[in-house]
Amino acid sequence: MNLRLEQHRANIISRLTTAMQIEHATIPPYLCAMYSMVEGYNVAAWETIRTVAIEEMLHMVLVANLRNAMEHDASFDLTSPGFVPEYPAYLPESDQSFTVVLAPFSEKALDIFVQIERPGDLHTPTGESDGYVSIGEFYNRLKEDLKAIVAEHGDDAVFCGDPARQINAAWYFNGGGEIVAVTDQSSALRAIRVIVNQGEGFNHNLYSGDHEEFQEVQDLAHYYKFREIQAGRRYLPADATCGNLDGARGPSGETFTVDYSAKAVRHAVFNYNPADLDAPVQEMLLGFSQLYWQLLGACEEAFNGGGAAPLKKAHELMYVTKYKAEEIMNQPLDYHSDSRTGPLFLHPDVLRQKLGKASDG
Amino acid sequence: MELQYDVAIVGSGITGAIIARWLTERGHSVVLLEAGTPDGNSRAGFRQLTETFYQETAKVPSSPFRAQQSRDWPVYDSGVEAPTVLRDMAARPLGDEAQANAYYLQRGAEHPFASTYLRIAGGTTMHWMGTCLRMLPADFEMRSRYGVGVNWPFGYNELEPFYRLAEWEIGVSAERSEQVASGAPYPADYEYPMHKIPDSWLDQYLAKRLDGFSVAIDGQSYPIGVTNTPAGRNSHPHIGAKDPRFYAPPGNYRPVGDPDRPDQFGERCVGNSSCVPICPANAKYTALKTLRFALASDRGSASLLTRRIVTRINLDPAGKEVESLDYFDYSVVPAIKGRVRAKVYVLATNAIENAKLLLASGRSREEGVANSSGLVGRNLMDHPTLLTWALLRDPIGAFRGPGSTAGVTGMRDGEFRSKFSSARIEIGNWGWSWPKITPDTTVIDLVGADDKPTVFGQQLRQQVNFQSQREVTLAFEMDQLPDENNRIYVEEGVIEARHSEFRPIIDFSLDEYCRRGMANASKVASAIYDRVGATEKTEHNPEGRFGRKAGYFRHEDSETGELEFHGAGHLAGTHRMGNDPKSSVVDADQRSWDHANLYIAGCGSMPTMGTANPTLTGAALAFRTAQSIDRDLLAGKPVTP
Repeated sequence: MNLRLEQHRANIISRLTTAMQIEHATIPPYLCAMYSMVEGYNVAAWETIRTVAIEEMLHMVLVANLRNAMEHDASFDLTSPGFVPEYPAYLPESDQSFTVVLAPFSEKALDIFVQIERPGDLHTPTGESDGYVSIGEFYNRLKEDLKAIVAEHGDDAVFCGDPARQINAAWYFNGGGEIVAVTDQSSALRAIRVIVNQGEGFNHNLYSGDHEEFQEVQDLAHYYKFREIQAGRRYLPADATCGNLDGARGPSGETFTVDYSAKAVRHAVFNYNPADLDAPVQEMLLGFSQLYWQLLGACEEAFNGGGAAPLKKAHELMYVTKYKAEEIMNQPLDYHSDSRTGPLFLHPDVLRQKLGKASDG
Repeated sequence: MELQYDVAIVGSGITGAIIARWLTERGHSVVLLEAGTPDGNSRAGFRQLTETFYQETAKVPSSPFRAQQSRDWPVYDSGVEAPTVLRDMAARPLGDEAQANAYYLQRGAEHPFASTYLRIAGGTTMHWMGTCLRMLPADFEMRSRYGVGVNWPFGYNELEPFYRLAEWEIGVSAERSEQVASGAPYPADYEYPMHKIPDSWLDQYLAKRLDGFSVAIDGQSYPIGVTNTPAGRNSHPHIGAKDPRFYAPPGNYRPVGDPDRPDQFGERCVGNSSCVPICPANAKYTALKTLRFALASDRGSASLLTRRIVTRINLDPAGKEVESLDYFDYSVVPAIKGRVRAKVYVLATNAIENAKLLLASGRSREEGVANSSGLVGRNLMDHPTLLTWALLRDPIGAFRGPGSTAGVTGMRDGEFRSKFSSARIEIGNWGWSWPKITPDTTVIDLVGADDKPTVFGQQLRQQVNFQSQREVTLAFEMDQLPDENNRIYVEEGVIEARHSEFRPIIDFSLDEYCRRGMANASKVASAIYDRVGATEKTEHNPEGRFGRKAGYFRHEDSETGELEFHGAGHLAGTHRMGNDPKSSVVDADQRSWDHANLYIAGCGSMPTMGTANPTLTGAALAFRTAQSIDRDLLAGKPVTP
């Protein structure tokens, strides 16, 4: 066994494990924003955030394919406490320049979404930690590591995983981009490119690269989708002036309605003590946690080579968790304001502890 | 105002869209003239159609589009109503004054022509179910095999490659391994673009109970089974299957979702259960999905001009070639007239409107354009549909998922076709909604019509639930032979005043071949229900429900002596194809025998109906026509056969 290769490999796999956490960590905030929107209002914003959330799920699968390509018999763990951060939280290994919170659809939520997806060259470094400034920067470091290990040891030695574990393109839909099966450096770099470009745009422009990569209809990168919602306006191609995408100009195209009022958005609150809730709502919260962790479990099983069955299960569970989350958000938090109860993305064991219940077997 | 193109296509339904896309990808310039509106083309527009549907009480096929009748509809400023939804089409007793308001005028025949269509960008695929069955080899050879009907100018094998193109353009979900059992041959290396839509619980329930069953028809035994139905509805792509279309992008098939955002919405069926009339997810195929690629192509150019009703085909002074088309343009205020010129012209509206336009354009109404055979408008065919229904012993989860996912097979072909009609049996997943408008009527019937309700409260809920969960409908789509006396024609003075168009006048009746076929079908239905342990509830009566009177008649060979048929919405036969200009309107490429630069395309070219829903066959014919037009344009002139 080549010790140097295996150490190098372990290093990359550790980064990929972090990558999985990062990609997933953005999903609950996006889902909360979506679940909080009353049907029929903010349709444009809802559809946009939905595509972003779905593309983050694509990123999770791409990360799984990357790891399964490089590691034989990889063991993914999405269900232990710690995989999902307890919000509010920093993105794992980031420069901690902003906190990610669960929030209803609001200016505050959009501010955070924009921070999450902001391209590296548009960040102002805080200089306070040596974590990555942007998700793109994180992946660029990963990319460099990958190129180095292949340069030294070759494709065959690096990509030694079981090809049967690669999740194929048929399983991803209703979002931009496609699942890339990873078998060598070229496909690995492609997978990373899709993740970065969908988030931040490519070649310093507005777009996600899905058109160039997959012949899909031209689509904006996540960062610019959120900027559109903030402005209530669409981008025109001409808005991408070189090097100054965030300048005074902003999107200058067609306007669309964004409504943060209580009529259009359930004003869900997330910083309450779950033990203070009425018993039936506590049960709903527990039910949601169980469902969401079953969903994570299905993803985990699929990444661990489980095949079609867990993937189908995961799709079903996405609907069931949505209905449960909406049910919780329909519960008023108190009777004096329009505050609603936000679903907490707490591990069932952790939630039970907070509720003062005995652990479940 | 005059416009000029390589090809002018009348109608932007599936036939027009397929021809437009092919020719545009081949580098030509195409214009599509659409009588209706473009509303389904944008996400906002499509959402509006869905919202309209949700708010309609009667969920009939035209319900998403009804709002277009209103002058308040914000899209229009012209004050002219779109002709999208035909005025009241319900079958009416002849002589009924309500006919004055109807779009069709029906006279001189015993039975109503009960089918309708939409005039809108995307055509009637905007509300179709999506069933994509191929015709059987025997359907092309009815005359030589069974001594009835006529033969097509080619057989199944010659059309087969075009079926493949159609299945990939529509995006059909099916397993080739299951479909080969139907009797239609497939090449060994062919696979459908997407995996089948899963069989419903009802399909599986019936399949189990029909295992090993057969029925006797005219003294011969026919095995009866259940087979999944190929559907134009998005599902998981078959990884590795090869796309036969030259313009397809490389890699695996990518399901086409919403025409506006095809990669982000509608890439999978998610079980909305409202396919007819609209798929809120836009996972069901509509011709807009083909149109959007034709319009986006950078190899050629396609223009979609909506709210333009073509009213006349103008021939050159010698009467040989088409010189131009006149249209009525109500997209502007006030409405204006326009004219289009092209090298090649294609009529791609549907069997009724194609014939209507041809007849309206002639020097005399009887003559029409392209009518030296005298057959334009004649041999109008539908699939007269016998509805049968029953209450199953066990709950099967009715009213969920696509309207039909499988059919009962065994009756589509056989020696008996020399004597009476065969049929395709569609298994309905939506309970008795078609024949009886359940569950709405279930509540009405249980509660009763008086002030004192008979059943209410918990008992009402239980009984509605009990019945609803056990409802099954088997719809028998009957083959109908061509009959010259079944026809659509026009007459001076019978006008649709809003748009200066003629109203179609329709003569239609069922011959004894078809009636006897329906009688036989009613017996097969009863045998099937008996076998699966269901209690049949089929009833046919002259009055119908809520004033709906379908085609009622009596036949001694039927199960109860009484029968009733509905329209399937399948319009065909009115400009049929053939090898001989004396007995056909178009040739095997759908080119008019009389005018070399005119193609008359669509299911109107079909010489016989068979028992497959005709859209897939129409789509296959469209690909043939597109290739012929391409040859014409490359040669610089029409290539006269």
